[in-house]
Amino acid sequence: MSRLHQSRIADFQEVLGEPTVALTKLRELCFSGIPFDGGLRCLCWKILLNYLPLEKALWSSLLKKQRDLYSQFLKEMIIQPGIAKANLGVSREDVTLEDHPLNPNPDSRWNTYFKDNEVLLQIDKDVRRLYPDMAFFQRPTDYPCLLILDPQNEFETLRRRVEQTTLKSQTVARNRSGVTNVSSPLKTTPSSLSEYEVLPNGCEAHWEVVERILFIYAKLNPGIAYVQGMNEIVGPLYYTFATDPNSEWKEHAEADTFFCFTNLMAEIRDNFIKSLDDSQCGITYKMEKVYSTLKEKDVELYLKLQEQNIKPQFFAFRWLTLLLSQEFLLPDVIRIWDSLFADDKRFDFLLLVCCAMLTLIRDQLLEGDFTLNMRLLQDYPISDVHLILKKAKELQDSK
Amino acid sequence: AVTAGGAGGPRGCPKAPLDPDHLYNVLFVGDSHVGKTSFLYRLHADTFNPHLAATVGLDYQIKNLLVDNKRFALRLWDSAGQERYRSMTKQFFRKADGVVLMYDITSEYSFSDVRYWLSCIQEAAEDGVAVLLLGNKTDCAAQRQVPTKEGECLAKEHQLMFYECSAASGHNVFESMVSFVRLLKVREDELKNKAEEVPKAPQKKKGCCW
Repeated sequence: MSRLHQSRIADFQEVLGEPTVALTKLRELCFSGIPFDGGLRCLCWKILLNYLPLEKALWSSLLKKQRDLYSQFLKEMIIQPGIAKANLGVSREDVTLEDHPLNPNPDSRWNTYFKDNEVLLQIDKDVRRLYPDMAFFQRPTDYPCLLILDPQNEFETLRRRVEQTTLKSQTVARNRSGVTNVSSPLKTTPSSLSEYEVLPNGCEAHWEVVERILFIYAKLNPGIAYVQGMNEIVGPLYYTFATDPNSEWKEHAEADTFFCFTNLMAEIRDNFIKSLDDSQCGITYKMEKVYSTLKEKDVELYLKLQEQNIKPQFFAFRWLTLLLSQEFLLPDVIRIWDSLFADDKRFDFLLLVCCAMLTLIRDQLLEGDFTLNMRLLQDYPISDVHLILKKAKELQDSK
Repeated sequence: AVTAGGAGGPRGCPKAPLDPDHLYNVLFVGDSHVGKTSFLYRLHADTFNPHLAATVGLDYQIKNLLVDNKRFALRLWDSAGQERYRSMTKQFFRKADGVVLMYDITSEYSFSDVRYWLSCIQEAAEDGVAVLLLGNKTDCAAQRQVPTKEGECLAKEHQLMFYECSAASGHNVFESMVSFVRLLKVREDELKNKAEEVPKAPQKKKGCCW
């Protein structure tokens, strides 16, 4: 380990060693990248994302409270509906029950159940393909949710629910097309499900944990529910917390990720809300801000992009909405997020990072035609994120 | 005939023609998870990638095809299917020379949304825009929910070009695009002819030759 690296770790330890964490100092340190060692990054992110308070004496009680609260969410939103479903399934013929699957009342629990299934299936399809280049999300977690995986449980888990919902739609398909030879539904697992190995009972893959986090979030935030791309936001958070070298933190990665994700979403959720697109806080405004900043910093490049009619919607929409998580490899995304989270005016620095990405390839862009430039922007050619962050800092300082 | 560097189909045309004779903007729309990105991936790389992440915003690809001895460059715009992103997609209809409207033959839901997408096209796209209706995932025959006939009927009703295809197996991926290119060319010629004619009262949306 280099001496410089060791001294950086010492700097972090010093700030985090105080009874009250000095936020300004911590932000300064984090901005230049947080060491992975000793779980420093996990800890810093939890502070920067306002999950852990600055008063360290409050940590243990807060963590206990929040983690209990998360268990409560699991019970209310997954376990109880699962039990209710199992019970209702048994007495299905009794239509004198007040609530039944065909109840048209919008308050009907069944109605909610079916609506939730739509959201769940959408999440399911997206989290199964989270970071496909890495084995991590397909691997079993060391800390499966015991509440849910208890083999004594008779209730319907999310996994069963996805399977059931998919199988049901297959049955309908057979009826509709009038095919009468019944093939075993088990043999015709939809290809989307069979692409990934399903882990045996008692095990769950990391993506299943992420699925649960997103499902709970969708249930608690029905106004926004689940929007594609949220999976790319929760992914790096969960990965970071679920690889914490300290097992006493790692085992609570699910609950901690949920709350950090919720806090982060509170700051960026407007990007995911269509009706806000054209408002001051919406994504359109931010995309324009990238261009107006570029105009200030590099007018020649700005004019070139304008002339070629390359709109920020063509690339910056994704850059901004997903906090660049689809543009780089996961370790690099995490490094960028160190700086983004450390920004006290979150997420102003992100706009500068986007600008830096443009100016760093200005020579190529100035020479390229529309097609070439679109390719550059859609498939960004520089992988050295330190270079990008350095440039962004320069832009920030050159005001 | 399709002449693409040899006896084969359009596949044998890997090199980008520097100066295309014709350039078209083609927008891909349809519900999420129907396979728009996979289709484009197959068209580009001629393999199936089951691990593609959901599209957020808009993706862009260029595809060069040599059809009937003419060089065509297609600017392919891949849109996000989920409801949240549709308002963004709608802004692009106007720029499009052609729209590929895709559904998933194993999802009745995605097929019933075709009518929604058609109304978007009618609302936002230029009159006479070429539309290709594509039913994807023919490789998943056991899970089929939308019979071929239904796709055909809908296409007939709205005068759309229609294919069923599979990005996973490659079935009809190139074939449908080559036919669509020919249709785009026909439309372009029609527009040119119209421009040369004496201006007259605005024409009603013209049906296509299919």
